[in-house]
Parts: sequence; C-alpha cells; structure tokens
Amino acid sequence: MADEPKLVLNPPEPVPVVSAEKAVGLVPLDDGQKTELTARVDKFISELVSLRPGSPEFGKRAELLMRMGQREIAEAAGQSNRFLDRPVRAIAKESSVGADLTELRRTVEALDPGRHSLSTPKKLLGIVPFGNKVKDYFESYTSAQSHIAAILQKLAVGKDELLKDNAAVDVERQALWAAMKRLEQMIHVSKALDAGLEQKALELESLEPEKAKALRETALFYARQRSTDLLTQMAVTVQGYLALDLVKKNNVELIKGVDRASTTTVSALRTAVTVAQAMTNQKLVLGQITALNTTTSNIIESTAELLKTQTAAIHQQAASSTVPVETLKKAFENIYQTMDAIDNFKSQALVSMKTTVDALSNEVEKSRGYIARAEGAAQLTSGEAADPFRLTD
Amino acid sequence: MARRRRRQAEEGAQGSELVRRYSTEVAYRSKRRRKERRKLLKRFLRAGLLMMFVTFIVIPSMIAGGFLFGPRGVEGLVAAPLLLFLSYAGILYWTFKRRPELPVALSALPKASEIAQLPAQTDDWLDQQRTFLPYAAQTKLDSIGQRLDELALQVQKLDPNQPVALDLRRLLGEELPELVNAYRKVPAGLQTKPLHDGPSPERRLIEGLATIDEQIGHMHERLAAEDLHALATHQRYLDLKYKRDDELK
Repeated sequence: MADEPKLVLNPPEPVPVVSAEKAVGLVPLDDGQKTELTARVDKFISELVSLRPGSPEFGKRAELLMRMGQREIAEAAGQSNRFLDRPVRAIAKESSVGADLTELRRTVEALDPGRHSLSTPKKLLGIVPFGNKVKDYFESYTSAQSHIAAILQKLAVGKDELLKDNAAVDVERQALWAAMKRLEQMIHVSKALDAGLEQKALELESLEPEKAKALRETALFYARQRSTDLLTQMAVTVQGYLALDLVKKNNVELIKGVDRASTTTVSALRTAVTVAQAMTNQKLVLGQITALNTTTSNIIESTAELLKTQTAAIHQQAASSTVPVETLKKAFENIYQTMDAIDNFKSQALVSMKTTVDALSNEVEKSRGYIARAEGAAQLTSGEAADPFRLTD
Repeated sequence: MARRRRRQAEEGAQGSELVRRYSTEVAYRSKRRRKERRKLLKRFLRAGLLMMFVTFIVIPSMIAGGFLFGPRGVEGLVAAPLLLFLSYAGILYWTFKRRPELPVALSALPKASEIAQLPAQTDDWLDQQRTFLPYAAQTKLDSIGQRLDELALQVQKLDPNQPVALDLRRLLGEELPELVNAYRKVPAGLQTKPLHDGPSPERRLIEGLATIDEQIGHMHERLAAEDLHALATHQRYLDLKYKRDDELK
C-alpha cells in the first residue's frame, strides 16, 4: 500500500500562436502531387500570357486567381468554430467530473479514521466502558457504501464522456488534417504562380511592356493576395489542430485521475473491511464496492490488476500490523493525494487551456477578416469559367 | 490490325457508356412520369375526398334545417344544389389552380416545416416550369429533380436556424427561382441569340442550373456530414474504450 507510486498528472503546455511561415510544410505533399500542380500552374500561365491584356478574356482568367483556393479556405474556416468550441466546452465539462470528485472527497472525509478518535482498540475499550466506538465507526461504512458506489458509477459515466470527447477530437483532427492537406496544395499552387508570373513578367519586360505590366498588376497581385489568405488560414487551422491535441491530452490526464481516485477509494474501503476484521472481529460487508474489481468494464485493466495485488498486500499488512488503524489512515492518505493531484492538475490545465483558447480566438478573428474579403472577391467574379486549380479528392 | 481492334474496343466502350447513360436517363424519365402520375392521382383523390366531405355535410344539414325550421320549399330545393355546386367548383379551383411564381412564400424567419417541405415544393414548381425551359436544359432539370428527391429525406428534421438550412432556403427558395424566372422573361426570339458575343441566354440558364445542381450536391454532403461524424466518433469511442493496447501487443 505504502509503496504505491505517487500520482503525477502533467498539464500540457498551452498552444502558442503559430506563425504563417511555420504552418507551411507541416503536411507534406508528395512529389507526384507537386509536379501535377506545377504543371497545371504552367499551363495556366502560358494560356494567360497568350491572351491580349485588357481583353475581357484576360480579365476573366486573371480574376480566377482571385477566388483561387476559396473553397479550401471556406472549408477549413468552417471547422474553426468547431475547434474553438471544443476547448471552451472542455473547460466547462471538467466541472461535471469535478463535482463528482468533490462529492467523493466529502463522503470519504466523513469516514476518515483520523477524524474519529480511534486510537489502539484495546486502550479505547479500556477507557470507554459503555458502547463500542470502533464498531460504530465501521458501521458508518455500511451506510455510506451505497452513496460511494453511486458516486463511483457517476465517475465511470464521466470517464466515458471524456473518452467520447476524445473520440470526437480524433475524428475532428482527421478532418482538419485533410483540410490542411488541401490548403497545403493550394499554397503550393499560389507560390508556383507567384514565381512563374514574376518570371514571365520579367521575360516580357522589354518585348511587351504592356503585357508585363498587366501581368504584374492583375494576375500577380491577385495571386499574392490569395497566398496571404491561404497562409493565414493555414496558420489558424494548424493552431486549432494543436489545440485539439491539448484537449485530448487534458482528457487523458483527467481520465487517469478519475481512475486513480476510484481505485484508491475502493482500496481504502477494502482496507477498512480487513481492519475491521482485525480490530473488532466485525464482519464488514461492503459488497457494493468491493465487487468493483470484478466489473472491469468500469475500471481499466491495469487498475483492476493493481487492486488485485493490493488486496493481498493489505490483508497481510493489516493482519500483521500491531496498529491496523495506521494502514487504514495510509489508505485514506492515498485518496487525498490523488484528489490533490487532480485539483492541482485542473487548475494548471485550466490556465493552459485558457491561454490556448484566447490565442486561438484571436487568430480566428483575424482570419475572419481575410475570409470576408475572399468571399467578397468571389461574389465579384461570376462562375463562368471552370476553376483550373480545383482540387480533386 | 491491332490498332483497328483497339479502336473497335474503344468504340464499343463508348457505345456501352452511351447505352448506359441513355438507359439511366430513360429510367429516370419513366420514374419522373410515374411520380407525376402519382402526384396527379393524389390531387384527384384529395379533391374527391373533400367533395365527398362537403356533400355529407351540406345535404344532412339542409335536411336537418328543414326539420328544425320548417321546409323551405322551392328556395331550399334550388339552394342545396347551388351550394354544393359552388363548393365543388371552389375545391376544384384550389386543387388545380396554377402554382405561384416562387415555389414557396418564404417567411422572414425560417420555420422547420418550411424547410422540410422545401425540396418537394421546389421539385413540384420546377416540374411546372419544364414546358417553358429549353430542351437542352431538361437533363439538368432531371438531375436537379433527382437530387431534390434525395434532399427531401435529409431535411425532415433539420433545425431551421442552422447555417445549412439558411443556405438551402436561399438556394432553393430564391436563387433557383430567380434564375428560371429571369430566363422566362427573355423574349422567345432572343433566347438562343448570343449576347454581346458572349453566351446566349439559353447557355447561361444551363450553366446556372449546372451550378445550382452542383450546390445541391454540396448541401447533400454537408447535411450528411454530421451523421458521418457521429458514426466515426462512436466507432472511435468504442476503440478507445475497449481496445486499449491492442496495437502495442
């Protein structure tokens, strides 16, 4: 019992603001994709150059650049609400598990042997001739057990909720990853366009200065603008992706804490059963709780294993110890240590989460400005010509 | 030799592709005809039921009136059939009267029932527009009709305040009718004439319908997204809960 490892829950670091430069390249494109996209860009540029600058056709082709990647941005932005929503909800959600843990602590504290004036049984019986205080004390376990069992059940449900949350995070992250991949492709396209158009304009400078000017002022201008928009959205999406990971890590730690709180509680109650037997020869029946190690669906396997080995150790300790109450006190200390670790974790994780949410909402807000502009641009251009950079799934 | 054989094979493949496309088109057309017949039958049935209902109300109430307030003589004898005839005419008029210019009158605030009926109403309305639209647009209309059928099932329990519901309302309730009505206003002689060397109104109508068709397809995906996510999430949850370290073992 005493050599049980101390529970340490590590709050994850807050997610920093991701700069646009750092966001690029996180999702690698394979060479085949790159060549294909570059080929499309080259084709587009050569077609554009073959048109007369100032003709409606030229204008139309150049305007295509204005809504380049519009769908990818909209798609990624559409998810930004969801990934912002989740950490915020996660902060609120902890309270449901938190409330159960607080209640568990209150209930357990009422049973704490340290709070009852239990010294060694012989002496106590010698001083107090009337009644049996120890017996009364252990009887209080019987009345508390259904309450504790209910709390443990609630904690198990809360744990399932946390797992569900993590499952949702996984699915969302997968969707975000796909969105990031598409953004990365469009960024590749916009960069290739930027370089290609710049070079073309340089080549035409002396021969056809008019065309070079038109290329710079329309096509290149639009391509650069879209580059910025795409990069901004990419940075926000990457940040959201990382923030979701934070939610997940938090939940994993909290699940660990809930597991340990349940185990230490059950373990303490079992110790009480053994100690009661040793001290007063009283048979304490805590069937509702001590049966918990058989229902492994509520407790993870490793925890169940831990419980099993502990039971043997407790038995031995309590039986051999001259002061069995000490064993019981230690069992309660374990519960408190776990709860303190969880409380500590929660307060630190909350700060981390808040910092992340604040940073993220700031960035999302900024990117919204870009998106609004992109949408405005899209409305200007009519949907006549097919988008040459449209990505296929 | 080999080249010819390859060409034959290619032609064969193209031919079978054509046959396949044609047969799905034929299947869809016949399905549409069946749907139209069913719709007409439904309308007749409704009218018939209403007429029967009115008959059963008017005649007994006339007789009861005669008993209660004394016989009305010739006036009563004329009034009863007249009343019946008028109500029949009213019922028939409301059942078969021409539909409004827009598929639905949209209220300022969307209602759940409005969204639920929107695809079916748009489909009905579009069917009535068919005769005024060019032959070349018919395949697009078929495709839109088919998508609307699919959509009708999805929107039954859609929350009307969701962005996707608002987008759907705008697309089906405003943008599609506006396109069709704008085309219908173009005088018949100018419909196929290119405008300022650009596409003809007919071409523009078809392009517009194609865009709307595609957008309805996106809506279909967007509406399904939540269910797809829910399934994926639940499967992942089961994984997380019960399959802890299988991957490491």
